[in-house]
Amino acid sequence: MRTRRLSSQTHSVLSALANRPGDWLYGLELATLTGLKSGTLYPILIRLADRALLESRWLEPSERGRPPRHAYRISAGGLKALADSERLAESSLRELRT
Amino acid sequence: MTGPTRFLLRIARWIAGRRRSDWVDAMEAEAASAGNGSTAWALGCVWAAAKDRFARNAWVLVAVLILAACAMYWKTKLFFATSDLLVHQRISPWFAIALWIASPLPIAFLLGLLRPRRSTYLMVAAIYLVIEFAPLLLLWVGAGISPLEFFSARQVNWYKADPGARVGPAVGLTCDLVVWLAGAWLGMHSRRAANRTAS
Repeated sequence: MRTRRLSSQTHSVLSALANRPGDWLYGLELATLTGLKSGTLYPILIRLADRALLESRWLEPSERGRPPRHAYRISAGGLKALADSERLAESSLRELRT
Repeated sequence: MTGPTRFLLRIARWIAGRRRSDWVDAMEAEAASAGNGSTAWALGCVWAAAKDRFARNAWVLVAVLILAACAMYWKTKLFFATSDLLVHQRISPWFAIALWIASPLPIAFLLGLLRPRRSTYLMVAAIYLVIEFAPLLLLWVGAGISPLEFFSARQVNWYKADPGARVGPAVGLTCDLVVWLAGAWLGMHSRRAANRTAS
């Protein structure tokens, strides 16, 4: 698969998930960690899920009467995409300097 | 969750379509946990649903823009033709306003006739939004006239038919939306009726 340079917002979502690789994070938590609003966050999450760069699952709520919540975790593919994108950014930066 | 939050999430669900219903469930569950920020969260969800839908069906965006341009051209032509009659007092201001309000009807009807699906309502609503708000945006960017000017308390003349008849922005916008949706509904029902007769 072709290595893609991630957009800064997609990068921040993947980085937030990669910082806590084993944890399932909710949409609201991701919005707080990345500073993104729901209108920007969800299209990114949908795209990442479609490309299998993150895993998602429904978690039972901690409080009674609340609906189950959708949570996200970075996948192995997501970690690789993040590393590739960072490597690509670094090499572009190096090319600019030389 | 507040009433406006629920209403916005319903709109997001409608825009997103059945294929993304799981994602709208996810947005809704977060809105339930967002506390005071739930309405802003839900508003973002409407935007997210629209972006995702247009990304999946890019042709819809192109069709919406082309149809909006056609409708705008038709409305402008009709406006100037009837304004002339209005100035020369050949028609009453209310008759002119009725014509302007009804002007999108043939386009919406045709769209409903050609595309008798529920998503046509969404398309018609998108065309309506472009027609009503793109000029305000252009005036804002091009001439520095704030869109709020058109919604201020002083603004009681949405259709420029002074003197004689005055319609406020809220009533004007609602009438226009109703005509667009009604036109599509009539078109779809005419098509279904014709299909029933044929079979």
